[in-house]
Amino acid sequence: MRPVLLFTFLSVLLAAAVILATGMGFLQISPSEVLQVIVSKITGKALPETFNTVFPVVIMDIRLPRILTSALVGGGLAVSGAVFQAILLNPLADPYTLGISSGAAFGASLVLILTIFGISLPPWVSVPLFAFSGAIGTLIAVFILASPHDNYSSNTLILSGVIVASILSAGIGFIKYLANEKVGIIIFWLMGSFVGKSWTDMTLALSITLPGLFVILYFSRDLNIMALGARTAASLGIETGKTRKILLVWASLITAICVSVSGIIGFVGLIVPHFLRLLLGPDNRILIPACFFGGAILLISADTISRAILPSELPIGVLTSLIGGPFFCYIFRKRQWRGQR
Amino acid sequence: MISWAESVFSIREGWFGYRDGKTVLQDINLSLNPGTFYGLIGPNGSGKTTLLDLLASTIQPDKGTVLFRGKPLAAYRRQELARMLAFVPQDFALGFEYTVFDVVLMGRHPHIPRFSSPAAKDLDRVEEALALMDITQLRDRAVTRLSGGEKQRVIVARALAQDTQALILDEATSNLDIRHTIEIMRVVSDRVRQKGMTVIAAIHDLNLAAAFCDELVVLKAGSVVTQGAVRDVLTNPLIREVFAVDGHIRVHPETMALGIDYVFKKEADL
Repeated sequence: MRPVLLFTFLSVLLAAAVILATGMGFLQISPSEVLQVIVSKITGKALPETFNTVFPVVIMDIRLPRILTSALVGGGLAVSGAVFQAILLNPLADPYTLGISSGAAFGASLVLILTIFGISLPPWVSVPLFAFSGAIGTLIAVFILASPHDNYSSNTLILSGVIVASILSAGIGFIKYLANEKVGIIIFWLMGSFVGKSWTDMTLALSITLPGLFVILYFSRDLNIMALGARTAASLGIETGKTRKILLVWASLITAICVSVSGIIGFVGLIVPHFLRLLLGPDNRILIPACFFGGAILLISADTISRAILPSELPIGVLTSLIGGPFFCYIFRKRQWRGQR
Repeated sequence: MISWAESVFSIREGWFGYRDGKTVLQDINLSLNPGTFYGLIGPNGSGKTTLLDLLASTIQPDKGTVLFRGKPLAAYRRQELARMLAFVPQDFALGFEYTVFDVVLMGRHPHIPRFSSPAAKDLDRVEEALALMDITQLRDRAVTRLSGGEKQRVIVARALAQDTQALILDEATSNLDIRHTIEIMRVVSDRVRQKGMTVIAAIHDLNLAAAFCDELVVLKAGSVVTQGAVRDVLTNPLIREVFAVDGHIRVHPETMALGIDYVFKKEADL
C-alpha cells in the first residue's frame, strides 16, 4: 500500500535526521554512539565503561531537546499551514494569516521591553507565556470580529486577521521605538531561534502539537469535502461552521505554541504544505501527516546547518527562507512549464 | 390529493430575510410530492436560490417551518439528512487538484463511516454516476483543469453518487451546451421515473423546464405565484405577468410537448 510505504519512509527519514543532527556540532559524535546513548536512557542499561562521559550530557541535556523542539515546531507549523490553506481555500494562507504571529510577537515584546526598562518581573512572567497569551488574545479578537453569521467564510476571516495584525504591528513598532538602541533583543526574538531550548520547551510544544495533530487528523476527510465549498460540504453532512471553528482553533493553538517556544519562523508553514500538495496530491488524510514529517525534517536540517555547519549561527527563519525559497521557485517554475504544454 | 405528512417537502408560512432587513421570501406555502420533477422558475432576484437554500437546510427560515418527510429539517442530524437529500448549489468550489473520481467519490461521504474505506457499493455508485454524466474518460483528470461545463457535470455526478431520495438543483445546467443540458435533464428525470426520486430544480430556460418537469413552482418577488402541472401553469398571461415579456405557447403537433416563442420587436420596428 502506498500510504504505508510513504509514512514508513518518512518516519525513517525523520529518525535518521534526528540521529545525524544530534551527532553533529562542535563535538562530533558518531550516529552509533548517539543511538547507544538514547537506547541506554530508554532501557536504563548502563553504557560501557570506555564510553566518553561527556557524550551523554551533550546529547541528552543540550542537543536532543533542541532538535526535538525544532522537529515539533517545524511539524506543527507545516500542519497548521496545511489546515489554513484547506479551510480558507487559499494556497497563500499560512499559520500567520489570522495574525497569530503578530499577537505572539506583541506579547513577547511587552515582556522584553519591561525587562529592557529594568523592571523586575515575577518569575512566572516568561516570554513564552506572554507570547502564547498574545496569540490566544488575537485569535479571540479575530473570531469576535469575523462573527459566525456566515460560518466564518474565508474572506471575513482573512480580513479580520489583517485588521487585527496591523493594529498589533503598530503596537510592536511602538514598543521597538521605546526600546531604542536595545531593540536588537526584540528583533532577535522575532526572527526565531532554537538556541538553548530545553526539555521544558519540548514538552510545551508537544503538549499542544500532539493532541492538535490528532484532532486535525480526525477531521481530515471533512477538510477534503470542504474544498467543494461551504454549501456543498453542508449538503454532504458536514457541520461546516462547527468543523471550521474547531480546526481553526486547533491550528491556531499549534501556531501559538510554536511561536511562543521559538519565535516567528516563516516559510515552513507556507511552503511545506504547498510543496507536498504538488507531490502527493490534495488529500488531507495523507497530506497532513506528511506535512508533519516534512516540516519536522526541514526545520531539523535548517537548525543543524545553522548550529553545526555555518561558522556563526544565523536566525533560523532567515535560513529556511534563504534555502527553501529558491528551491521552491525552481519547483514552481518547472510545474508552470509543464502545465503550459 | 396527498396530505402534508406524505409530501417530501413542505413549507408553511415560510419567511426569510437577510440581516439588512430586506425580506427575500414571504409567506411561502409549498408542498412537494414524491416521485415528481419540479421546476422552479422566476425572474432574477425572485428568491429561487434562497428558497432552495431553505429546502437544503443551508439557511433557516425566520418564521414558519420547513418539513422534510414530515419532520422539521432542523431536527435532522446533518449526516442523516445528507443520506436522503442532495444539493447542487450554484456557487460550488473546486479549489484543489482533486481528480474527477475523488470529487465524485465525495458524494459517498455521508454513507462511509469515518476512517473506513469506500465499500464496493460506494465505488459502484461512483462508476455509475461517472458513466451517466459522460465523464468516465476524465476520471483521473484534476478538476482544476476542466472546462466550465465539465466541472458542472462533475458536480452533478457527485450529487447522483450520493444516491438520495431528493435532489435540489440550482441552475445545474447553466454552463452546459445543449447536448449535455438535455443529457443531465434526461438522467435526472429517469431517476424520478425509475427510483421515485423527488427533484426540484431552478431553471431559467422555460422550454427546458416545460420539456422535462412534471410541475412548475413560479416565484415572483419572494412569493409563490402559482404551483401546478406544467400545462396548467405555463400560459401566455403568466409569462407576461412574471417575466414581463410577451411569450407565445405552442404545442408540438406530434409530441404534444409545450414550447415557448418569445415575441419581441426589433428597435427598427418601433
